[in-house]
Amino acid sequence: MVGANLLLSPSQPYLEEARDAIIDAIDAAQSNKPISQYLPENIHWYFDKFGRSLRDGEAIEFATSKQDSPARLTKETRRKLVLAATSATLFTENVVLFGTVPEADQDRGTFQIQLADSRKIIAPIGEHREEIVKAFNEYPHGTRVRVQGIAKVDRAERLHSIDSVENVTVLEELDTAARLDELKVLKNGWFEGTGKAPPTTGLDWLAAAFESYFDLDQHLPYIFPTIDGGVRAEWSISGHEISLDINLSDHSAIWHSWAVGSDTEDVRKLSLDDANEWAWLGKQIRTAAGALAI
Amino acid sequence: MPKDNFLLSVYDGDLISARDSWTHYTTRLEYLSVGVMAVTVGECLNESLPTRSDLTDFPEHAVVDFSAFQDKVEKKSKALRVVAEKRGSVFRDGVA
Repeated sequence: MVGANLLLSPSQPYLEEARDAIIDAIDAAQSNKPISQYLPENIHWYFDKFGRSLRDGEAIEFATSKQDSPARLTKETRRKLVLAATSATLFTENVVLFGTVPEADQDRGTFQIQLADSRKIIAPIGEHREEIVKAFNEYPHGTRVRVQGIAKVDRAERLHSIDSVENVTVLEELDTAARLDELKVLKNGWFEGTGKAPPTTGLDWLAAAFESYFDLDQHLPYIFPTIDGGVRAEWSISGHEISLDINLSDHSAIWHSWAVGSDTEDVRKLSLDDANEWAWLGKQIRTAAGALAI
Repeated sequence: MPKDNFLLSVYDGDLISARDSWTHYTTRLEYLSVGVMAVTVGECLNESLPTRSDLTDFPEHAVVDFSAFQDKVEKKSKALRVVAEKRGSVFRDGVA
């Protein structure tokens, strides 16, 4: 009889020990415990790449033999793991930036993206020469781009530089995500000393909601901040003046539509956490535009 | 609108030009503005909105009174905006 001998590699115990140390380090980061007792500092940097694409609310879970609940690698715990090394001053993050292109240097192969708060960040042109040149030429008209890439960020989460650019899109004038990003620069007192700054989390929620639920190929609204810290979207379509006053805290909204010159107006309260309400809204816009029979 | 008790603050165009009203707003009051839009008293009256001087802040200050239409503020303000947009801006910062 010929039998196969299944021999354990001599390194097997070390591999298992290393795995447990990594999981314990993730668990320590999650529990706000010291990380260095599980991993040497020179290993922390590996987390700069591992888990970089995690977004808010996402996690990679690792089963641990020490407790019932898994260790969770999230955007936050990854950041703690990288920065636990005393020598680490910067770490990389996947970022999406909106801005204009005031400068492009074809000799150096770089361009500047000017953010809504006027900061200018240098980035490599890479494979995106056509889009960058178009945005550069249209800079006097305020044309904006959406740049997706990997950026270096410091401990205070300030953008330091852009290492690589994965995607560049030249945006429509009324691009909702870019406009909502602009509103993040507003501070309390922005309007006659009393305007309340819209909350960043609320602006991010609304940008994601527009992307998920609103057909961005149809009429886009003009978007304005309101003095109570909300956002107002306005459409002027075929003689209809339509507005949507959005509460960024509870995600409710007041819809108002008026056919110019008429006495009739339509008012409705919406909950924008409900996809059906977005569907209704989209239908109203298409109807006003004449795409559907009224 | 409730912030100002249903009164819309404006400059009285008979007493101050569009350019000077912008200068007053941005330098004396130190607020931000990119330009000036305008409606006439007649256009306000077409919407049954009375206007009057209000000297409490400065001599050229006036108000458009929406208080009789508290449940129609949205419609009335949109009506004024439509006529103002049709006229276009009467002064823009940086435009001669």
